Amino acid sequence: MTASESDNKTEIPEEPDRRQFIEKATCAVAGVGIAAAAWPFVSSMNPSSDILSKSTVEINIGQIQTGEVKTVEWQSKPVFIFHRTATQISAMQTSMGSNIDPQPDEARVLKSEWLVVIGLCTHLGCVPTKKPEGWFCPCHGSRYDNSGRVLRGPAPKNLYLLPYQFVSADTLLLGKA
Amino acid sequence: MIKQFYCYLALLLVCCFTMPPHSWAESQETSLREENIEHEQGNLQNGMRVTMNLCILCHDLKYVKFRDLMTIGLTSGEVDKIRGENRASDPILSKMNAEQMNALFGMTTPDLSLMAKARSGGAQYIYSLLLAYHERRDGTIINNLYPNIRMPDVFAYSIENNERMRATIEQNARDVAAFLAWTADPKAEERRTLGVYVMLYLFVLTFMLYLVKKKTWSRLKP
Amino acid sequence: MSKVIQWIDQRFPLSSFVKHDLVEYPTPRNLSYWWNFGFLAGFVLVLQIITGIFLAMHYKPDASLAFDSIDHIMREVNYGWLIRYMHAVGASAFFAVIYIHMARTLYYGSYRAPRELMWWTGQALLLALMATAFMGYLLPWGQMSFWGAQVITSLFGATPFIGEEVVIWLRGDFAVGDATLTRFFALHYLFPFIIIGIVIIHLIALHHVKSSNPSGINLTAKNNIPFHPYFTTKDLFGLGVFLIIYCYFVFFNPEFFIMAENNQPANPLQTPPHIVPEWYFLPFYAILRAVPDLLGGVIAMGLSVMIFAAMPFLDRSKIPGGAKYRPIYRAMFYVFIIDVIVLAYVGAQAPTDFWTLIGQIATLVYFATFMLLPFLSKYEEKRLRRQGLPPEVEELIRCEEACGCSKPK
Repeated sequence: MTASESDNKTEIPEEPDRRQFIEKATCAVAGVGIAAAAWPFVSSMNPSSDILSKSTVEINIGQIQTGEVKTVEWQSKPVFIFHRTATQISAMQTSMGSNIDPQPDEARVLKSEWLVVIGLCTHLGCVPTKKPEGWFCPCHGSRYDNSGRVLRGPAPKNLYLLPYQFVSADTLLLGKA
Repeated sequence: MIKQFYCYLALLLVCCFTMPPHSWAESQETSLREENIEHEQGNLQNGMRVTMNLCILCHDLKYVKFRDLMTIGLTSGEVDKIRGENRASDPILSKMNAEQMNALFGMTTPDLSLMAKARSGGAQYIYSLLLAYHERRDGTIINNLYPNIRMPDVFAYSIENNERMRATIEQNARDVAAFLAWTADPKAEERRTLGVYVMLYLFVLTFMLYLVKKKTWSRLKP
Repeated sequence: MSKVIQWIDQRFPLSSFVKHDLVEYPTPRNLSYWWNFGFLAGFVLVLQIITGIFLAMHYKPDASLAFDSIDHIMREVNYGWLIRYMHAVGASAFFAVIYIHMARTLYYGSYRAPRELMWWTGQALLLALMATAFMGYLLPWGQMSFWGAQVITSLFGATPFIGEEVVIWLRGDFAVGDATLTRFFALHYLFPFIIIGIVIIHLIALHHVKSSNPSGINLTAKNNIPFHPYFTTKDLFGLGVFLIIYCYFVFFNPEFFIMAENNQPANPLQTPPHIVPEWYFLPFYAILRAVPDLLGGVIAMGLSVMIFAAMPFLDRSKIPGGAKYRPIYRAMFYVFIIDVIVLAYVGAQAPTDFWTLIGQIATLVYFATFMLLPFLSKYEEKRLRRQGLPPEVEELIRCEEACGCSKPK
């Protein structure tokens, strides 16, 4: 004896329309509820408020000599703040970098003496080391110039820029344009 | 018979839910003050000011960050004034370090952030404790609620005779309690607001599920 | 879509499983709402696992960080307060649901043949749940967490000859400490998956012997109805009611089940004035304290949990219907329930002479109800048969004998 046989004895044939309406409506309401209940769990994996509150960092750049690079941490990543010399500036302004990712120097700085870039190689995320002519990535040998533009692969892109502003002449605010 | 069973189970549930074990275990020697503590923004801000001027001298609020004060209606400019040299994301700490606390009180003063949740009676307990100081005949001051407390009568309530001043101190103590209730449970308002929507939704959904169940079962022959 | 299902069906009995065990699964039509609690227990288990995994993404099982990491969850993590309160209230909800589920089984005699294995897997689930709850309670690293774990691990010191070594081995330290916390976290994460395994065995057994029902005998097929849509809708309505109660606590009274002392960080140098376990352990804690000897107390407490497993042997009556047609059994059931409530109340009191005495009497009553059951159940059966059974019970017994449905096919 299967359950479907017993159905015939115990069930009255249904009136489809009325039952189906309330069923469908209930399913819809329940579905919305389940989706809403999932949101807090998804959201809990996003950065927590203490991490977000550190998403902007104020940096005093008054101490950085010309020709010197300061590496600071911003959003758990290294950021190079490079105080460029006049010769480096003029050399960079006349070039477009290489064919890999050509870009004018003006598009990469707010003030020409300050280059601010994320200090991670755009290839696989190693931290490049400073050389007189720019940066050199020790992992796979990518080279960047003093504007952070890639000169030689395997890096596909120039060093990434980040939003920042000058709060005063010698204070930088990283994370907010 | 079934009814009896329901009654007993209901009794079991009522017992489990209405008598929390911690309240059974507490024996209250002195009763708490009964005045209603208001939790309006003005009270929280006043309580914050009193706390930052008095309590913070000896106690930390280490789970509260300066930026959190914006949630009780302070502007970022006001927060900047309060935090001084500290960053907005720094915790609110006492100027005293553990060593100085030890020298002064013979113990590390307890952190206040969770105090309203860490004492049964909550905010009412804090309010009552702050005002439980009395001057004895020999001139010494004792806290009736917590006779061994090492904290002095910071409001000087026990020796204040002016009625108007006493009323101000009482208001300040209530506001400190309200502020500490907020530091212990800063999400309470968000929780209750969300809770109202969740409950409304669940009532609707449960009613619909009841209708579906009834309709489905009505198909069964008796 | 149907092609995909066809492909799977040739390799795995998906459609036939859904058909036989979820849709058409024959279920007694006379089940009351007391039969909802098994489903609810399953729901709470899933809820606890999900909230637990998300909490574990932010929790730090290190004695110097644990308390702070809970506070970080409560203040900084997006909806961390919600997930943590869901988990904390969920623990109490789990025990409430399980205890009602057990009370139903006892009242309706659902532990009797052929469902002994369901009852025993249920017993294993209860033990696993208690262990999980106990270890989880240490994780917030509050005062009550710490001292609760200190007291309960000390109980193993009652082991003859090697007591002290066992306690140190359990803690990985000379007192509850960082090592204890970390291993409790590891095991608290593991146990729910063991519970899932036992639940599967519990359900396989259920689908073999089918649900019991308020009449106390196995019904003929004409009294069974398919699980879907009848019991899916009934279970879901019950779930709605459960969620209303549960969400009331989560959103409006979340600290109700959390003792104030547990909002103070663990302090190994200072014991709180009263150490009180969570409400769901109170009756067993009262039994532990009722026996003046440590080893005796531990044995009595262990026995008080394990003795449920003996129920299929202790109940010797052949009258069907659980407590429904059995006045003496019914009276014993109510005495037992009241006794458990008394024990819970005593468990929360400071151990004064008066409360210890009440606890000892209640402990005696607790074990006496089990010990007297074999004699009383036999006596009750004889008396009922002498008096003449009500016609509907005669009918049930005749039906039982005619189709022999009490034995699994």
